[in-house]
Amino acid sequence: MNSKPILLFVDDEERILRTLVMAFRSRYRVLSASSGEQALALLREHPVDVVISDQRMPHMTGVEVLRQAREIAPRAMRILLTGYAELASIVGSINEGEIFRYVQKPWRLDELRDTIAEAVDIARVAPDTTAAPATAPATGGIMVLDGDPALHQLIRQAHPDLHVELADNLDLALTRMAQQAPAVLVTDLQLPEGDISDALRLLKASQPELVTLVVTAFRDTGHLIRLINQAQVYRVLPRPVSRNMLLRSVESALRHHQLLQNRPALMRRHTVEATPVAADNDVGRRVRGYLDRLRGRTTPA
Amino acid sequence: MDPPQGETAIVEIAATRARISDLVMRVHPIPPSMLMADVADLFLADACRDLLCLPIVRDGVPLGTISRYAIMKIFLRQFGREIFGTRPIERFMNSTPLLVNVDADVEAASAYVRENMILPVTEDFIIVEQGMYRGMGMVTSLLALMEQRVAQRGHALVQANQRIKASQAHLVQSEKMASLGQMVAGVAHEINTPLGYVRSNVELARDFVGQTSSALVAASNLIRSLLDDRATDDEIGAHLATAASATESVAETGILEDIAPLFDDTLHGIEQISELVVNLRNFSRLDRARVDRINLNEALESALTIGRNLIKHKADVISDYGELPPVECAASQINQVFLNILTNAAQAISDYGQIVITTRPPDAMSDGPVEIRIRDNGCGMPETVRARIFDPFFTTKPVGEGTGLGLSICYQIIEQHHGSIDVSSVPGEGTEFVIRLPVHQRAGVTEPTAESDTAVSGARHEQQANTAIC
Repeated sequence: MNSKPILLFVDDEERILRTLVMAFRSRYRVLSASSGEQALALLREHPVDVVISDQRMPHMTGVEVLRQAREIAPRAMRILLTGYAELASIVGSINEGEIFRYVQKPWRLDELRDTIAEAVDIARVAPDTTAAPATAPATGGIMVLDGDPALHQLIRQAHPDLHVELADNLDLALTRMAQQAPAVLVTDLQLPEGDISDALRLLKASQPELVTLVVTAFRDTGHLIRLINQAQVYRVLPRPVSRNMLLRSVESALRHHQLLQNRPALMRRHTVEATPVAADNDVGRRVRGYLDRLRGRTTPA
Repeated sequence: MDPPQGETAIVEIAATRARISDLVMRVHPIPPSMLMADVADLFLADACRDLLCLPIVRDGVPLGTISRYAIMKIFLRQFGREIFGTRPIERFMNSTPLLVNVDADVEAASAYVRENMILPVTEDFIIVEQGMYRGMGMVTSLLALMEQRVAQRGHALVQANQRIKASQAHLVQSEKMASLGQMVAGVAHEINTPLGYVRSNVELARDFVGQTSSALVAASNLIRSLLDDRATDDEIGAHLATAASATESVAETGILEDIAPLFDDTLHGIEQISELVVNLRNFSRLDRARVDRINLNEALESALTIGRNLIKHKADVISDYGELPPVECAASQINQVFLNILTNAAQAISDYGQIVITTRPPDAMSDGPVEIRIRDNGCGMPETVRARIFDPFFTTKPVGEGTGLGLSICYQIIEQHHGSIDVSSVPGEGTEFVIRLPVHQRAGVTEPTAESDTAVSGARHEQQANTAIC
């Protein structure tokens, strides 16, 4: 793969395509499509490294394009570039698109260049394959971090052979996780100690094999976008959560974790954005304490 | 305040109402053996002035009543007083008097009295407690009590109605705010697309200038050395090489061909953004008089621009505009109607469809209305839904999405413009709205709120109906 990396831009506004082609053609081979159908055809023909799609287009949404891109060209990294931040498309881009980044229009050219360069790098060194294990492995536990024991009970019944733990606060969860690192973390965003998004970002940054499933009634779109870009959450399920959806997502998360364990290079595909989490942040300190314990070091008092 | 609290108010009044015990008149009962002439004399006494009849009681148990009317009938006969006056009253009494329990509900008592009363009204009723005589109750007092209760209930109803109207006005206002919020969010998103490429283009142009300027510097160095008599051939050669490679690398980037379309696109984007802003302003028409002479084709275009983010990915819009005369209307209100119907049409389309807008002027030589038709080929709706779509609060959307007021407000707006709005729909084929508006307004068009009577009673159908049933 010494040839120029291939980018595919999908947008129904030709002027968007034109400016993106101009901005990237010196370093990459740039393909552009003005519809989802055209994009999928190009994906079948060319070994695309990164596909960057708009969300709102006639006939086929960006989430749908990226969902199908996962099947047609699993190696290609997926980025959504959109001026519309609606809840449905954000949740869809996480759960169906499994996207690498959610970039909002108007973008900053230098930032988009960095994001795409990173995505190209990852596509080259960590090509994905669709060959995920057929069944969930019996290894690796599940940590449920939630004030309500119902989710924990449901998951434990479905996975009697797995170690499924319940913690109703972050500290307890981190203590338990330090003793035995789980494969999957199922958590709400709002806990008694407040919002734990920062904790999720730090955890994913240092433990990329941890697969996070967020169950939340939270509807702030900006927040969810940060969870994609900075925490690479695997699934977001709206509360009240449907039993089938939860169990299906847990299954899928376990398989995903197994895949990451078998092929550690794939973890790079979930690299999170460098986040400016304040060092003196309380949550940050607790997570760092946990990470230190995990590495067998002691935390400075 | 919402309607349920209105109902509570009625219950409270019912609880504090007057009871039968308040009607008790302590009339001294007469024994059954009392002579008729003596009873007749009693009726003449001041104490019994208001009474229609007297109670006949033995050992506390009421046996019957004797009315003024019954005695009068007997005494009016020839020698009536002489023949019957000395007989005990028991023989002439009404032995099936109206008996009302002291604990009885006023309404139940009133219904009982009304059903058993003999006309003309000649008797009052006996109030009993556990079968024993308590006193007399006057039919007129019972009527007064009922009247008072009806008045109280009416008052409560008026209050409840006021509260309902207030909450409805509040809902109308929140619907307006919600649709305004939706519109602003939509337009803000719509601006992001041109803003996206304008920003990117400007950043590219800045880079281009950086790249071309080095070529320009190399070229001017070359020119300077060429004009300099002291410059050696080697120096000129070096400058020439630098300039050649610099200009070549600029040419390689394709900048020179791209720079013109890049600026064209940028200007186009700025045009787009300006157009959105102008439409947003036109749409609210805050800077215009309330009733204006409006080109409705332009109003439709404005609504399409504002709703573009909701419509463009759902449907092709085919506009067939006729030559319309300017129509007198409150522009912002009519715009709201158009936007509402257009976005509903887009929402009714599940995948990708078509919205056809047709406008027609009044028939030649008539002062009839202009006609606006908005047709979609979306999911349509069954008759049961169609019949109700202009009803306030009727919605087929899930709870929390839409108040169900959109189309009822449209209906009010059109009605207040003395126009009409009709809808026809075939499930699976689509929906058509037909709006007819007179060219001139007879009287001023007023702001539609729940205060106006048409807001509640006049509105028959609703909106959003044709959306969520898909």
